[in-house]
Order: sequence, then C-alpha cells, then structure tokens
Amino acid sequence: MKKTILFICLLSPAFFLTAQNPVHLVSFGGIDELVSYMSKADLEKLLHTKIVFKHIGIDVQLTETVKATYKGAEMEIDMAGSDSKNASLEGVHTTSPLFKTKEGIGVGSDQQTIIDTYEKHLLIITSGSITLVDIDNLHSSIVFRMENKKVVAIGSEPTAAFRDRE
Amino acid sequence: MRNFLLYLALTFAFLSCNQKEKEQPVKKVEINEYTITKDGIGELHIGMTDAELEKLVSQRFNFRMVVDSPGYWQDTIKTKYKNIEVSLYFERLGGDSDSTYMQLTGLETSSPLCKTEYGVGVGDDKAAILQPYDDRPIDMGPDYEQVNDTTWSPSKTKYSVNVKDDKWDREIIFHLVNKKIVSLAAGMIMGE
Repeated sequence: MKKTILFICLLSPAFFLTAQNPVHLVSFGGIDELVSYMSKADLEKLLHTKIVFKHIGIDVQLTETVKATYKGAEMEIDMAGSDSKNASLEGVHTTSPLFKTKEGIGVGSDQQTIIDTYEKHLLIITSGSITLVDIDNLHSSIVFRMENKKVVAIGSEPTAAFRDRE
Repeated sequence: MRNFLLYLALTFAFLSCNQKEKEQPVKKVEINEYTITKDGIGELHIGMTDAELEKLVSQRFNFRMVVDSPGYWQDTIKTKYKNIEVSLYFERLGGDSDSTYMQLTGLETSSPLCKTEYGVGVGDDKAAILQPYDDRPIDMGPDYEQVNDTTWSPSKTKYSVNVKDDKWDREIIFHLVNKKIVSLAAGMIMGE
C-alpha cells in the first residue's frame, strides 16, 4: 500500500506538468494556428498585438522576421509582402519544447531519431538544420534547427531548394 | 551489497566500451583505380570531353539521342572502364545544335569493385553512407516513379542519398533498392 501511495505521489507532478503544458502541433502548414499565408490582419487578431514593420512597405526589403509570443512561447514569424497591408505569414519558428510534429519530434530530439522517424520522407541535412520536405507538396517543409545533433528550434517554412527526383 | 557493486562495475564497463565504439571515427580505406569520388572514378573525371574519354576507354562513342533527336542535349554511353561497367552521362557544350562536342557531367556503376574512399559500396545500407559524411550537406528520400502519363509518386523500394560537396556543385549519389545500395554515381549538381 505504501509503495502504491509513493508511486502515485511520484507520478502526480509529472501528470500535472503535462496537463498544464499541452503540446502543440507543428505541421507543413505552420505551427498550430499560425499557418502559412495568414494575413497580417488575421495574425494581429490571433496574437492580440499590433505588428509594426521596419522594412516591409518602408524600404526595398520584401521579407521581414518579427518576434511575438504565442501560447506562452516566443515565436519568430517570417512575413513577406510588398507593403504592410498585403503582407502574410511565410514561415514560423520556435525554441519552445511544447511544439512538436505529430510524430513527437521537437526541441531536444536528436538527429538519428529524425532520420529514423522520417525514413520514407525527403530530408535535407546541412550542418545547421534538417529540413523535412512535404512529399505531397515539395514547396512546404518542417525545419529543425540543429546544434550538436540536437533540435534547438522547430518551425515551418517554404522549401528553399530540392533536387528534382523525377 | 557485493552483487550490487559487481553489477555497477559491469554496467560502467559496458557503457564505457559502448561509448568508445560510438566515438570511433570512420577510417578511410586505400584509394585504388575504382574508388569513386564526387569527381569521378579513377581516370574517368567529370568535365572530360568525349574525345578524351574515347581515347581513355578505346571506344568510339555513338551519341544517338543528340544526333537523331532534335532538341536533345543529353546522352548516355555505356562502356567498360578496366574491369567495371560504367554509364557515362554527357551534355553538349555550347549552343550549337549541330555540335557533338560533349562533356562528361556524371557517371554511374553497379560494380561491387567500386567503393568510396570510406569503403562504402554496393550492398551497404543507409547508415554506412551517413556515418562518414557527417559534416557534408546531404539530401535523401524515395525516388519518384511514373505511375501514368501525368502522375509521379514516391517509390516504396527505390531511394537515393545525395552527398554534396561544400560548394554544392558536385555530389556522390547512392541509389538504394530495398534499403541496400545497388549503384553509385558521381556528377555535377544540376538545376539548383
């Protein structure tokens, strides 16, 4: 009986921590509700904040990264557009461990686990990142930023380049 | 207590051995006439002209696709280099459509004699490819197969691993079927 109580006591903090910190989904389309091509207006509504550009609509630069907090985590949001009104979300990244792919890969996962998990997918491995390319749409990808073969940030963005395998 | 200490000692010893095994760097093997690199195999160098290669393999090349089909600028020649069968991939140099002045842009072989400088060759698996090229840009995934005139889909059995050089201008390609290497290729990276 004592052992059972001790076991329950040991498990309880883990249960409550998990319950308080639900994991959110990173997909080829974005992070949770932060989805690709989302307009600046929709983004501002979702984040309850006003996005002020330093470049888009001001100088010749058509892309810009803004920082925001979403579900308690810091996000780097890549915006693209020719002016402030038509700018939309192009990519989004976070260093929070609360955001994972549906297969459970997120900050802290190692390189070999990614290779094994996505054995039937297209992967681009460079010294600083692993890009998982959407097999149904080669233009979309999930990017794992890597340091010492561990994921330090996860996000979704358009695929930079991929060799045509056809 | 004694048993517990013995268990701890054995566990420690096992973990130490395991760690050493993991940390062992991959050694290069002796380079020979069949060693494949991003630049070719032996004396078959990417960038050579058809005339230079004809002399080297003592064979007259017949570029049927380029000569017979207007608009074609690529062609493949199968030949023998020493004791291995090799496919040579050519592209026409310059814009002259009548020209048959061809440049070697890639080559491929299925010979078990041909291995990389790390000893990776036909019959090896994906793990053997990735380990020595830890610091190189790599892209890998299933090959695409044509299902019908308009549809391509990822193969369930065919897979490629492309190991690129740091400049992203040349690469070694490992072609796998059912998770084992069936051929090795080297060449220029095109169309990126």
